[in-house]
Amino acid sequence: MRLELQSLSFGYDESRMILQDISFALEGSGVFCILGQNGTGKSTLLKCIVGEEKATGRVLVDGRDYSKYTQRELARKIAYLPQTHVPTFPFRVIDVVMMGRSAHMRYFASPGAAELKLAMDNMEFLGIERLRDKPYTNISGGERQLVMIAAALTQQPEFLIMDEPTAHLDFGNTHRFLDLVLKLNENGIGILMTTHFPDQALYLGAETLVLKDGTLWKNGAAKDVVDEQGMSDLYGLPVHIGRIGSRRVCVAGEFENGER
Amino acid sequence: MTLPANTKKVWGAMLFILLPVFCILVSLTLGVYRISVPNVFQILLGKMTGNIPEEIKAIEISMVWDVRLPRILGAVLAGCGLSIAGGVFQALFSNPLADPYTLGVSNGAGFGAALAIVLSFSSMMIQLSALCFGIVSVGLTFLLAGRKRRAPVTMILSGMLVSAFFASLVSLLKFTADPQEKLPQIVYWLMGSLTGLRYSKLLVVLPGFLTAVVVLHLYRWRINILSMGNREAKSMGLNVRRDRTMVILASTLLTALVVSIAGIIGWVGIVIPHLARMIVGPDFRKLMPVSASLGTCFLLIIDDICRTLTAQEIPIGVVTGIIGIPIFLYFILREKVSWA
Repeated sequence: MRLELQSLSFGYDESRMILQDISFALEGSGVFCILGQNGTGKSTLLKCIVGEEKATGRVLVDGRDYSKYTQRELARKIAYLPQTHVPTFPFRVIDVVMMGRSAHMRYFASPGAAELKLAMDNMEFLGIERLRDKPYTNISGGERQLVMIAAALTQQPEFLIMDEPTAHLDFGNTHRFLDLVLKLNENGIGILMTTHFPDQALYLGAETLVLKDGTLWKNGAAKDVVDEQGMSDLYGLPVHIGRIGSRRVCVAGEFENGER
Repeated sequence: MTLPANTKKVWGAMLFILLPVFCILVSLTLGVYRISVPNVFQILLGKMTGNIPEEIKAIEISMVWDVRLPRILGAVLAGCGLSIAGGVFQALFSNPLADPYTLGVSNGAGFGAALAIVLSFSSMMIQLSALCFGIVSVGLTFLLAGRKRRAPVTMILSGMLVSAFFASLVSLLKFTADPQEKLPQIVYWLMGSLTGLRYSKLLVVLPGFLTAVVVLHLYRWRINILSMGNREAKSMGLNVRRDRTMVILASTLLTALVVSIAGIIGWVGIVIPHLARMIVGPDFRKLMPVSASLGTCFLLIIDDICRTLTAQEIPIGVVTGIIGIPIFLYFILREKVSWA
Protein backbone atom coordinates (compact mmCIF):
# COMPACT_ATOMS: atom_id res chain seq x y z
CA MET A 1 0.00 0.00 0.00
CA ARG A 2 1.15 3.53 -0.68
CA LEU A 3 0.34 6.27 1.79
CA GLU A 4 1.02 9.79 0.65
CA LEU A 5 0.59 13.11 2.44
CA GLN A 6 0.55 16.29 0.39
CA SER A 7 1.18 19.54 2.30
CA LEU A 8 -0.89 18.53 5.26
CA SER A 9 -1.53 21.24 7.86
CA PHE A 10 -3.57 21.16 11.01
CA GLY A 11 -4.40 23.49 13.88
CA TYR A 12 -7.23 23.80 16.36
CA ASP A 13 -7.30 27.48 15.48
CA GLU A 14 -5.53 29.50 12.81
CA SER A 15 -3.05 31.24 15.08
CA ARG A 16 -1.69 28.03 16.60
CA MET A 17 -0.89 25.54 13.90
CA ILE A 18 0.20 22.16 15.21
CA LEU A 19 1.28 20.66 11.90
CA GLN A 20 2.51 22.69 8.97
CA ASP A 21 2.91 21.67 5.39
CA ILE A 22 3.87 18.05 5.92
CA SER A 23 4.47 15.98 2.82
CA PHE A 24 5.83 12.48 2.52
CA ALA A 25 5.08 9.19 0.83
CA LEU A 26 5.35 5.79 2.48
CA GLU A 27 5.88 3.06 -0.06
CA GLY A 28 4.96 -0.57 0.25
CA SER A 29 5.15 -2.59 3.38
CA GLY A 30 8.06 -1.16 5.34
CA VAL A 31 8.40 -0.22 8.99
CA PHE A 32 8.09 3.51 9.61
CA CYS A 33 8.78 5.37 12.85
CA ILE A 34 7.83 8.92 13.73
CA LEU A 35 10.10 10.63 16.26
CA GLY A 36 9.65 13.98 17.93
CA GLN A 37 9.43 15.76 21.25
CA ASN A 38 6.34 15.77 23.42
CA GLY A 39 3.74 18.04 21.89
CA THR A 40 5.19 18.24 18.37
CA GLY A 41 2.09 16.65 16.94
CA LYS A 42 3.08 13.02 16.40
CA SER A 43 -0.25 11.71 17.61
CA THR A 44 -2.09 14.49 15.83
CA LEU A 45 -0.36 13.53 12.60
CA LEU A 46 -1.60 9.95 12.97
CA LYS A 47 -5.09 11.20 13.76
CA CYS A 48 -5.03 13.32 10.60
CA ILE A 49 -3.95 10.29 8.58
CA VAL A 50 -6.77 8.12 9.87
CA GLY A 51 -9.28 10.93 9.49
CA GLU A 52 -10.01 11.49 13.13
CA GLU A 53 -8.97 15.13 12.78
CA LYS A 54 -9.78 17.17 9.71
CA ALA A 55 -6.56 18.57 8.27
CA THR A 56 -6.02 20.72 5.21
CA GLY A 57 -3.96 19.22 2.42
CA ARG A 58 -4.38 15.77 0.98
CA VAL A 59 -4.01 12.24 2.26
CA LEU A 60 -3.77 9.71 -0.56
CA VAL A 61 -4.18 5.99 -0.05
CA ASP A 62 -2.97 4.07 -3.09
CA GLY A 63 -3.17 7.31 -5.05
CA ARG A 64 -6.80 7.94 -4.22
CA ASP A 65 -7.98 10.66 -1.90
CA TYR A 66 -8.74 9.45 1.59
CA SER A 67 -12.19 11.03 1.60
CA LYS A 68 -13.18 9.02 -1.47
CA TYR A 69 -13.05 5.78 0.50
CA THR A 70 -15.82 4.47 2.70
CA GLN A 71 -14.82 3.67 6.27
CA ARG A 72 -15.31 0.00 5.44
CA GLU A 73 -12.91 0.13 2.48
CA LEU A 74 -10.34 1.98 4.54
CA ALA A 75 -10.55 -0.53 7.38
CA ARG A 76 -9.46 -3.23 4.95
CA LYS A 77 -6.35 -1.20 4.17
CA ILE A 78 -5.49 0.51 7.44
CA ALA A 79 -5.94 -0.49 11.07
CA TYR A 80 -5.28 2.15 13.69
CA LEU A 81 -4.50 1.53 17.35
CA PRO A 82 -4.80 4.66 19.48
CA GLN A 83 -2.34 5.14 22.32
CA THR A 84 -4.86 4.31 25.00
CA HIS A 85 -7.93 2.18 24.79
CA VAL A 86 -10.27 2.61 27.73
CA PRO A 87 -12.21 -0.61 28.21
CA THR A 88 -15.73 -0.15 29.56
CA PHE A 89 -17.54 -3.45 29.29
CA PRO A 90 -16.05 -6.86 30.14
CA PHE A 91 -16.25 -8.43 26.68
CA ARG A 92 -14.59 -11.80 26.27
CA VAL A 93 -11.18 -11.54 24.61
CA ILE A 94 -12.30 -13.68 21.68
CA ASP A 95 -15.28 -11.38 21.04
CA VAL A 96 -13.03 -8.32 20.97
CA VAL A 97 -10.69 -10.02 18.50
CA MET A 98 -13.62 -11.02 16.27
CA MET A 99 -14.87 -7.42 16.27
CA GLY A 100 -11.88 -6.65 14.07
CA ARG A 101 -13.50 -8.69 11.30
CA SER A 102 -16.49 -6.41 10.86
CA ALA A 103 -15.18 -4.61 7.78
CA HIS A 104 -15.21 -7.94 5.93
CA MET A 105 -18.60 -9.18 7.10
CA ARG A 106 -22.04 -8.49 5.65
CA TYR A 107 -23.60 -5.39 7.19
CA PHE A 108 -25.90 -7.02 9.72
CA ALA A 109 -23.97 -10.27 10.12
CA SER A 110 -22.63 -11.67 13.36
CA PRO A 111 -19.30 -13.49 13.35
CA GLY A 112 -19.45 -17.22 12.61
CA ALA A 113 -17.06 -20.16 12.32
CA ALA A 114 -14.77 -18.53 9.73
CA GLU A 115 -14.35 -15.39 11.83
CA LEU A 116 -13.75 -17.49 14.94
CA LYS A 117 -11.01 -19.48 13.23
CA LEU A 118 -9.23 -16.40 11.93
CA ALA A 119 -9.43 -14.78 15.35
CA MET A 120 -8.02 -17.89 17.03
CA ASP A 121 -5.22 -18.11 14.46
CA ASN A 122 -4.20 -14.54 15.19
CA MET A 123 -4.36 -15.10 18.92
CA GLU A 124 -2.12 -18.15 18.54
CA PHE A 125 0.28 -16.10 16.41
CA LEU A 126 0.52 -13.60 19.27
CA GLY A 127 0.60 -16.33 21.92
CA ILE A 128 -2.55 -15.22 23.72
CA GLU A 129 -4.94 -18.05 22.85
CA ARG A 130 -5.15 -18.97 26.55
CA LEU A 131 -6.91 -15.62 27.19
CA ARG A 132 -9.75 -16.59 24.87
CA ASP A 133 -12.64 -16.60 27.35
CA LYS A 134 -11.32 -14.08 29.85
CA PRO A 135 -12.98 -10.69 30.17
CA TYR A 136 -10.62 -8.28 28.44
CA THR A 137 -11.07 -5.83 31.31
CA ASN A 138 -9.36 -8.24 33.69
CA ILE A 139 -6.03 -8.84 31.98
CA SER A 140 -2.78 -6.88 32.18
CA GLY A 141 -2.18 -3.78 30.07
CA GLY A 142 0.41 -5.63 27.98
CA GLU A 143 -1.99 -8.50 27.34
CA ARG A 144 -4.76 -6.08 26.44
CA GLN A 145 -2.51 -4.44 23.91
CA LEU A 146 -1.86 -7.82 22.31
CA VAL A 147 -5.63 -8.38 22.24
CA MET A 148 -6.13 -5.09 20.42
CA ILE A 149 -3.36 -6.04 17.99
CA ALA A 150 -5.02 -9.42 17.44
CA ALA A 151 -8.25 -7.57 16.64
CA ALA A 152 -6.34 -5.34 14.22
CA LEU A 153 -4.77 -8.41 12.54
CA THR A 154 -8.19 -10.03 12.20
CA GLN A 155 -9.08 -6.94 10.23
CA GLN A 156 -6.34 -8.08 7.76
CA PRO A 157 -5.17 -4.58 6.95
CA GLU A 158 -2.26 -3.79 4.65
CA PHE A 159 -1.02 -1.14 7.03
CA LEU A 160 -1.04 -0.98 10.83
CA ILE A 161 -0.79 2.46 12.39
CA MET A 162 0.05 2.58 16.10
CA ASP A 163 0.33 5.56 18.39
CA GLU A 164 3.15 5.06 20.90
CA PRO A 165 2.53 1.35 21.21
CA THR A 166 5.30 0.86 23.77
CA ALA A 167 4.18 3.68 26.06
CA HIS A 168 2.60 1.38 28.63
CA LEU A 169 4.86 -1.65 28.29
CA ASP A 170 7.59 -2.71 30.69
CA PHE A 171 11.24 -3.07 29.66
CA GLY A 172 10.95 -6.70 28.54
CA ASN A 173 7.59 -6.40 26.85
CA THR A 174 8.80 -3.33 24.96
CA HIS A 175 11.51 -5.39 23.35
CA ARG A 176 9.20 -8.33 22.70
CA PHE A 177 6.88 -5.87 21.06
CA LEU A 178 9.61 -4.60 18.72
CA ASP A 179 10.35 -8.18 17.67
CA LEU A 180 6.64 -8.64 17.06
CA VAL A 181 6.65 -5.58 14.81
CA LEU A 182 9.44 -7.15 12.75
CA LYS A 183 7.56 -10.45 12.62
CA LEU A 184 4.38 -8.75 11.46
CA ASN A 185 6.34 -6.88 8.88
CA GLU A 186 7.84 -10.11 7.54
CA ASN A 187 4.25 -11.26 7.04
CA GLY A 188 3.75 -8.33 4.72
CA ILE A 189 2.04 -5.76 6.92
CA GLY A 190 3.33 -2.20 6.73
CA ILE A 191 3.82 -0.55 10.12
CA LEU A 192 3.70 3.12 10.99
CA MET A 193 4.27 3.96 14.63
CA THR A 194 5.22 6.90 16.79
CA THR A 195 7.83 6.46 19.48
CA HIS A 196 9.80 8.43 22.03
CA PHE A 197 12.87 6.24 21.70
CA PRO A 198 15.31 6.68 18.79
CA ASP A 199 16.69 3.27 19.82
CA GLN A 200 13.53 1.66 18.58
CA ALA A 201 13.88 3.21 15.15
CA LEU A 202 17.47 1.91 15.02
CA TYR A 203 16.52 -1.58 16.14
CA LEU A 204 13.64 -1.80 13.69
CA GLY A 205 15.79 -0.44 10.89
CA ALA A 206 12.82 1.79 10.25
CA GLU A 207 12.31 4.50 7.73
CA THR A 208 12.29 7.39 10.20
CA LEU A 209 10.33 10.62 10.07
CA VAL A 210 11.38 13.30 12.54
CA LEU A 211 8.90 16.01 13.48
CA LYS A 212 10.17 19.27 14.91
CA ASP A 213 8.05 22.33 15.66
CA GLY A 214 5.17 20.95 13.66
CA THR A 215 7.11 20.38 10.48
CA LEU A 216 8.78 17.35 8.97
CA TRP A 217 12.37 17.97 9.93
CA LYS A 218 14.12 14.86 8.67
CA ASN A 219 13.08 11.82 6.73
CA GLY A 220 15.21 8.80 5.87
CA ALA A 221 16.65 5.48 6.99
CA ALA A 222 17.10 5.25 10.78
CA LYS A 223 20.87 4.82 10.49
CA ASP A 224 21.11 8.12 8.59
CA VAL A 225 18.53 10.14 10.50
CA VAL A 226 19.26 9.00 14.05
CA ASP A 227 22.69 10.54 14.60
CA GLU A 228 24.21 12.25 17.62
CA GLN A 229 23.98 15.78 16.26
CA GLY A 230 20.41 15.44 15.02
CA MET A 231 19.07 13.78 18.17
CA SER A 232 20.88 16.32 20.39
CA ASP A 233 19.24 19.13 18.44
CA LEU A 234 15.86 17.42 18.53
CA TYR A 235 15.68 16.67 22.24
CA GLY A 236 17.75 19.66 23.42
CA LEU A 237 20.34 17.70 25.38
CA PRO A 238 23.44 15.69 24.57
CA VAL A 239 22.69 12.33 22.93
CA HIS A 240 25.31 9.67 22.41
CA ILE A 241 25.17 6.77 20.03
CA GLY A 242 27.43 3.78 20.47
CA ARG A 243 27.60 0.06 19.95
CA ILE A 244 26.94 -2.85 22.27
CA GLY A 245 27.79 -6.00 20.36
CA SER A 246 26.11 -5.68 16.98
CA ARG A 247 23.47 -3.27 18.23
CA ARG A 248 23.53 0.49 17.92
CA VAL A 249 22.15 2.13 21.04
CA CYS A 250 21.26 5.66 21.91
CA VAL A 251 21.82 7.22 25.34
CA ALA A 252 20.85 10.71 26.49
CA GLY A 253 22.63 12.98 28.95
CA GLU A 254 26.12 14.25 29.81
CA PHE A 255 28.88 11.68 29.98
CA GLU A 256 31.31 13.84 32.04
CA ASN A 257 29.48 13.64 35.38
CA GLY A 258 31.57 10.83 36.85
CA GLU A 259 30.71 7.17 37.31
CA ARG A 260 27.08 6.08 37.44
CA MET B 1 -23.07 -32.65 37.13
CA THR B 2 -21.72 -30.71 34.18
CA LEU B 3 -23.91 -30.35 31.18
CA PRO B 4 -22.51 -30.04 27.67
CA ALA B 5 -22.28 -26.41 26.57
CA ASN B 6 -25.07 -26.74 24.04
CA THR B 7 -27.54 -28.30 26.47
CA LYS B 8 -26.78 -25.50 28.91
CA LYS B 9 -27.47 -22.94 26.19
CA VAL B 10 -30.82 -24.48 25.34
CA TRP B 11 -31.88 -24.64 28.99
CA GLY B 12 -30.77 -21.05 29.48
CA ALA B 13 -32.76 -19.90 26.49
CA MET B 14 -35.83 -21.86 27.66
CA LEU B 15 -35.57 -20.29 31.10
CA PHE B 16 -35.51 -16.75 29.74
CA ILE B 17 -38.51 -17.48 27.52
CA LEU B 18 -40.58 -19.32 30.12
CA LEU B 19 -39.93 -16.92 32.98
CA PRO B 20 -41.85 -13.98 31.47
CA VAL B 21 -44.61 -16.30 30.24
CA PHE B 22 -44.99 -17.58 33.79
CA CYS B 23 -45.07 -14.01 35.15
CA ILE B 24 -47.75 -13.06 32.63
CA LEU B 25 -49.95 -15.99 33.63
CA VAL B 26 -49.54 -15.35 37.35
CA SER B 27 -50.23 -11.62 36.90
CA LEU B 28 -53.50 -12.44 35.12
CA THR B 29 -54.76 -14.22 38.22
CA LEU B 30 -53.95 -11.33 40.55
CA GLY B 31 -56.14 -8.35 41.23
CA VAL B 32 -58.48 -6.64 43.66
CA TYR B 33 -61.49 -8.26 42.01
CA ARG B 34 -61.25 -11.95 42.92
CA ILE B 35 -61.45 -14.40 40.05
CA SER B 36 -60.59 -18.02 40.67
CA VAL B 37 -57.46 -19.29 38.95
CA PRO B 38 -59.26 -22.01 36.92
CA ASN B 39 -61.71 -19.38 35.67
CA VAL B 40 -58.88 -17.12 34.52
CA PHE B 41 -57.41 -19.91 32.42
CA GLN B 42 -60.79 -21.00 31.11
CA ILE B 43 -61.38 -17.43 30.00
CA LEU B 44 -57.97 -17.30 28.29
CA LEU B 45 -58.47 -20.65 26.57
CA GLY B 46 -62.07 -19.79 25.74
CA LYS B 47 -61.10 -16.48 24.10
CA MET B 48 -58.65 -18.35 21.90
CA THR B 49 -60.87 -21.27 20.99
CA GLY B 50 -64.06 -19.25 20.85
CA ASN B 51 -66.18 -20.99 23.51
CA ILE B 52 -66.26 -19.85 27.10
CA PRO B 53 -68.14 -21.98 29.66
CA GLU B 54 -71.50 -20.37 30.43
CA GLU B 55 -71.12 -20.38 34.19
CA ILE B 56 -68.39 -17.70 34.02
CA LYS B 57 -69.75 -14.23 34.61
CA ALA B 58 -69.43 -11.58 31.92
CA ILE B 59 -67.73 -9.21 34.35
CA GLU B 60 -65.03 -11.79 34.98
CA ILE B 61 -64.43 -12.19 31.28
CA SER B 62 -64.18 -8.47 30.73
CA MET B 63 -61.98 -8.10 33.82
CA VAL B 64 -59.45 -10.63 32.55
CA TRP B 65 -59.60 -9.86 28.86
CA ASP B 66 -60.26 -6.12 28.70
CA VAL B 67 -58.69 -4.82 31.92
CA ARG B 68 -55.91 -7.11 33.07
CA LEU B 69 -54.57 -8.43 29.79
CA PRO B 70 -54.00 -5.07 28.06
CA ARG B 71 -52.44 -3.73 31.20
CA ILE B 72 -50.15 -6.75 31.43
CA LEU B 73 -49.22 -6.43 27.77
CA GLY B 74 -48.44 -2.78 28.48
CA ALA B 75 -46.13 -3.84 31.31
CA VAL B 76 -44.48 -6.32 28.93
CA LEU B 77 -43.88 -3.62 26.32
CA ALA B 78 -42.63 -1.15 28.91
CA GLY B 79 -40.35 -3.60 30.71
CA CYS B 80 -38.97 -5.00 27.50
CA GLY B 81 -38.58 -1.63 25.75
CA LEU B 82 -36.97 0.27 28.63
CA SER B 83 -34.54 -2.56 29.41
CA ILE B 84 -33.42 -2.91 25.80
CA ALA B 85 -33.12 0.85 25.32
CA GLY B 86 -31.19 1.17 28.59
CA GLY B 87 -28.68 -1.46 27.47
CA VAL B 88 -28.26 0.31 24.15
CA PHE B 89 -27.66 3.72 25.67
CA GLN B 90 -25.16 2.32 28.15
CA ALA B 91 -23.27 0.65 25.32
CA LEU B 92 -23.41 3.69 23.03
CA PHE B 93 -22.18 6.14 25.61
CA SER B 94 -19.70 3.62 27.03
CA ASN B 95 -21.22 4.64 30.33
CA PRO B 96 -22.82 2.18 32.73
CA LEU B 97 -24.87 4.97 34.28
CA ALA B 98 -26.66 5.98 31.09
CA ASP B 99 -30.35 5.12 30.84
CA PRO B 100 -33.15 5.42 28.27
CA TYR B 101 -33.86 8.94 29.46
CA THR B 102 -30.29 10.22 29.10
CA LEU B 103 -31.08 12.18 25.94
CA GLY B 104 -34.13 13.91 27.40
CA VAL B 105 -37.00 11.73 26.16
CA SER B 106 -38.74 11.54 29.53
CA ASN B 107 -39.01 15.24 30.30
CA GLY B 108 -39.82 16.06 26.69
CA ALA B 109 -42.62 13.50 26.70
CA GLY B 110 -43.71 14.73 30.13
CA PHE B 111 -44.04 18.24 28.72
CA GLY B 112 -46.00 16.93 25.73
CA ALA B 113 -48.39 15.08 28.00
CA ALA B 114 -48.77 17.98 30.44
CA LEU B 115 -49.46 20.38 27.58
CA ALA B 116 -52.13 18.10 26.14
CA ILE B 117 -53.69 17.68 29.59
CA VAL B 118 -53.80 21.43 30.20
CA LEU B 119 -55.40 21.91 26.79
CA SER B 120 -58.01 19.25 27.71
CA PHE B 121 -57.15 16.97 24.81
CA SER B 122 -58.36 13.37 24.60
CA SER B 123 -56.28 10.59 26.10
CA MET B 124 -55.17 9.49 22.64
CA MET B 125 -53.95 13.03 21.94
CA ILE B 126 -52.10 13.05 25.26
CA GLN B 127 -50.33 9.87 24.16
CA LEU B 128 -49.43 11.29 20.75
CA SER B 129 -48.30 14.62 22.17
CA ALA B 130 -46.05 12.81 24.67
CA LEU B 131 -44.60 10.70 21.86
CA CYS B 132 -43.94 13.70 19.60
CA PHE B 133 -42.33 15.86 22.29
CA GLY B 134 -40.25 12.91 23.48
CA ILE B 135 -38.78 12.60 20.01
CA VAL B 136 -38.49 16.38 19.56
CA SER B 137 -36.45 16.63 22.77
CA VAL B 138 -33.95 14.06 21.51
CA GLY B 139 -33.79 16.00 18.24
CA LEU B 140 -32.95 19.11 20.26
CA THR B 141 -30.26 17.19 22.11
CA PHE B 142 -28.73 16.22 18.76
CA LEU B 143 -28.83 19.84 17.55
CA LEU B 144 -27.32 21.13 20.77
CA ALA B 145 -24.51 18.59 20.69
CA GLY B 146 -23.93 19.90 17.17
CA ARG B 147 -20.96 18.76 15.19
CA LYS B 148 -19.22 17.41 18.27
CA ARG B 149 -21.94 14.84 18.79
CA ARG B 150 -19.46 12.05 18.27
CA ALA B 151 -18.14 12.73 21.75
CA PRO B 152 -20.40 10.83 24.15
CA VAL B 153 -19.92 13.37 26.93
CA THR B 154 -21.20 16.19 24.74
CA MET B 155 -24.33 14.19 24.00
CA ILE B 156 -24.91 13.38 27.67
CA LEU B 157 -24.47 17.02 28.71
CA SER B 158 -26.77 18.22 25.93
CA GLY B 159 -29.32 15.64 27.06
CA MET B 160 -29.12 16.96 30.61
CA LEU B 161 -29.69 20.52 29.42
CA VAL B 162 -32.65 19.61 27.25
CA SER B 163 -34.07 17.51 30.10
CA ALA B 164 -33.72 20.37 32.54
CA PHE B 165 -35.30 22.78 30.08
CA PHE B 166 -38.37 20.61 29.56
CA ALA B 167 -38.55 19.92 33.30
CA SER B 168 -38.82 23.67 33.84
CA LEU B 169 -41.55 23.93 31.23
CA VAL B 170 -43.42 21.10 32.95
CA SER B 171 -43.14 22.99 36.24
CA LEU B 172 -44.52 26.06 34.55
CA LEU B 173 -47.48 24.06 33.23
CA LYS B 174 -48.07 22.53 36.65
CA PHE B 175 -48.03 26.00 38.19
CA THR B 176 -50.62 27.30 35.76
CA ALA B 177 -52.75 24.15 35.71
CA ASP B 178 -56.11 23.97 37.47
CA PRO B 179 -55.21 22.47 40.88
CA GLN B 180 -58.51 20.59 41.25
CA GLU B 181 -58.61 18.73 38.00
CA LYS B 182 -55.55 19.15 35.73
CA LEU B 183 -52.71 19.25 38.23
CA PRO B 184 -53.35 15.80 39.75
CA GLN B 185 -53.69 14.37 36.26
CA ILE B 186 -50.30 15.79 35.24
CA VAL B 187 -48.67 14.59 38.45
CA TYR B 188 -50.06 11.07 38.04
CA TRP B 189 -48.94 10.94 34.43
CA LEU B 190 -45.41 11.95 35.40
CA MET B 191 -45.23 9.28 38.10
CA GLY B 192 -45.86 6.62 35.50
CA SER B 193 -48.83 4.34 35.49
CA LEU B 194 -50.28 1.45 33.57
CA THR B 195 -53.78 2.02 34.93
CA GLY B 196 -56.58 1.86 32.43
CA LEU B 197 -54.51 0.78 29.45
CA ARG B 198 -56.65 -0.29 26.52
CA TYR B 199 -55.87 -2.28 23.41
CA SER B 200 -56.38 0.83 21.29
CA LYS B 201 -53.43 2.56 22.97
CA LEU B 202 -51.26 -0.52 22.63
CA LEU B 203 -52.09 -0.88 18.96
CA VAL B 204 -50.92 2.66 18.29
CA VAL B 205 -47.45 1.93 19.64
CA LEU B 206 -47.06 -1.67 18.49
CA PRO B 207 -45.86 -1.14 14.89
CA GLY B 208 -43.21 1.39 15.89
CA PHE B 209 -42.20 -0.72 18.85
CA LEU B 210 -41.66 -3.85 16.76
CA THR B 211 -39.79 -1.88 14.09
CA ALA B 212 -37.41 -0.45 16.68
CA VAL B 213 -36.82 -3.87 18.23
CA VAL B 214 -36.10 -5.41 14.83
CA VAL B 215 -33.67 -2.60 13.95
CA LEU B 216 -31.82 -3.01 17.25
CA HIS B 217 -31.74 -6.76 16.75
CA LEU B 218 -30.15 -6.28 13.33
CA TYR B 219 -27.57 -3.92 14.82
CA ARG B 220 -26.81 -6.25 17.76
CA TRP B 221 -23.22 -7.01 16.73
CA ARG B 222 -22.50 -3.44 15.64
CA ILE B 223 -23.71 -2.16 19.01
CA ASN B 224 -20.94 -4.25 20.59
CA ILE B 225 -18.38 -2.56 18.39
CA LEU B 226 -19.81 0.91 18.99
CA SER B 227 -19.49 0.29 22.73
CA MET B 228 -15.72 -0.12 22.32
CA GLY B 229 -15.43 3.61 21.63
CA ASN B 230 -15.79 5.76 18.54
CA ARG B 231 -12.15 5.66 17.47
CA GLU B 232 -12.00 1.90 17.80
CA ALA B 233 -15.28 1.39 15.96
CA LYS B 234 -14.16 3.68 13.17
CA SER B 235 -10.85 1.91 12.78
CA MET B 236 -12.73 -1.38 12.56
CA GLY B 237 -14.60 0.00 9.56
CA LEU B 238 -17.89 1.25 10.96
CA ASN B 239 -19.49 4.39 9.69
CA VAL B 240 -19.79 5.49 13.30
CA ARG B 241 -21.93 8.52 12.66
CA ARG B 242 -24.53 6.65 10.63
CA ASP B 243 -24.63 3.57 12.81
CA ARG B 244 -24.85 5.56 16.03
CA THR B 245 -27.62 7.72 14.62
CA MET B 246 -29.64 4.71 13.49
CA VAL B 247 -29.26 2.94 16.83
CA ILE B 248 -30.06 6.08 18.83
CA LEU B 249 -33.13 6.73 16.66
CA ALA B 250 -34.41 3.20 17.21
CA SER B 251 -33.88 3.22 20.96
CA THR B 252 -35.32 6.72 21.28
CA LEU B 253 -38.41 5.60 19.41
CA LEU B 254 -38.66 2.58 21.69
CA THR B 255 -38.39 4.73 24.81
CA ALA B 256 -40.75 7.44 23.59
CA LEU B 257 -43.40 4.86 22.68
CA VAL B 258 -43.18 3.27 26.12
CA VAL B 259 -43.35 6.65 27.84
CA SER B 260 -46.35 7.60 25.73
CA ILE B 261 -48.39 4.68 27.11
CA ALA B 262 -46.91 4.31 30.58
CA GLY B 263 -45.58 7.70 31.66
CA ILE B 264 -42.15 8.01 33.17
CA ILE B 265 -41.08 4.72 34.73
CA GLY B 266 -37.57 5.13 36.06
CA TRP B 267 -34.81 2.72 37.00
CA VAL B 268 -35.94 -0.27 34.93
CA GLY B 269 -33.68 0.87 32.09
CA ILE B 270 -30.65 1.10 34.31
CA VAL B 271 -31.07 -1.76 36.81
CA ILE B 272 -32.16 -4.49 34.40
CA PRO B 273 -29.35 -4.14 31.82
CA HIS B 274 -26.85 -4.34 34.69
CA LEU B 275 -28.50 -7.44 36.08
CA ALA B 276 -28.55 -9.01 32.63
CA ARG B 277 -24.90 -8.09 32.04
CA MET B 278 -23.97 -9.81 35.30
CA ILE B 279 -25.67 -12.97 34.09
CA VAL B 280 -24.68 -13.20 30.41
CA GLY B 281 -21.94 -10.59 29.96
CA PRO B 282 -21.92 -7.47 27.79
CA ASP B 283 -22.32 -9.14 24.36
CA PHE B 284 -25.43 -7.40 23.04
CA ARG B 285 -26.45 -10.49 21.08
CA LYS B 286 -27.26 -12.13 24.41
CA LEU B 287 -27.77 -9.01 26.47
CA MET B 288 -30.74 -7.84 24.40
CA PRO B 289 -32.98 -10.93 24.78
CA VAL B 290 -32.02 -11.48 28.41
CA SER B 291 -32.65 -7.81 29.29
CA ALA B 292 -36.01 -8.00 27.54
CA SER B 293 -36.93 -11.13 29.48
CA LEU B 294 -35.80 -9.85 32.88
CA GLY B 295 -37.28 -6.39 32.28
CA THR B 296 -40.63 -7.94 31.46
CA CYS B 297 -40.61 -10.04 34.65
CA PHE B 298 -39.41 -7.14 36.80
CA LEU B 299 -42.09 -4.74 35.61
CA LEU B 300 -44.86 -7.37 35.82
CA ILE B 301 -43.94 -8.16 39.41
CA ILE B 302 -43.80 -4.48 40.32
CA ASP B 303 -47.08 -3.76 38.61
CA ASP B 304 -48.64 -6.68 40.52
CA ILE B 305 -47.41 -5.12 43.74
CA CYS B 306 -48.78 -1.71 42.69
CA ARG B 307 -52.26 -2.97 42.03
CA THR B 308 -52.65 -5.50 44.86
CA LEU B 309 -50.70 -4.15 47.83
CA THR B 310 -53.07 -1.35 48.80
CA ALA B 311 -56.69 -0.52 48.09
CA GLN B 312 -55.72 2.53 46.11
CA GLU B 313 -53.20 1.85 43.42
CA ILE B 314 -49.59 3.05 43.83
CA PRO B 315 -48.08 4.67 40.70
CA ILE B 316 -45.61 2.22 39.17
CA GLY B 317 -42.84 4.78 38.61
CA VAL B 318 -42.70 5.33 42.37
CA VAL B 319 -42.27 1.65 43.14
CA THR B 320 -39.61 0.97 40.48
CA GLY B 321 -37.50 3.61 42.19
CA ILE B 322 -38.12 2.31 45.71
CA ILE B 323 -37.23 -1.24 44.66
CA GLY B 324 -34.77 -0.47 41.89
CA ILE B 325 -32.42 1.86 43.75
CA PRO B 326 -31.61 -0.58 46.58
CA ILE B 327 -30.94 -3.28 43.99
CA PHE B 328 -28.65 -0.90 42.13
CA LEU B 329 -26.87 0.10 45.35
CA TYR B 330 -26.32 -3.58 46.06
CA PHE B 331 -24.61 -3.97 42.66
CA ILE B 332 -22.37 -1.02 43.39
CA LEU B 333 -21.45 -2.15 46.89
CA ARG B 334 -20.69 -5.63 45.60
CA GLU B 335 -18.57 -3.90 42.94
CA LYS B 336 -20.53 -5.45 40.13
CA VAL B 337 -20.87 -1.98 38.66
CA SER B 338 -18.26 0.73 38.64
CA TRP B 339 -19.09 4.40 38.60
CA ALA B 340 -16.49 5.17 35.97
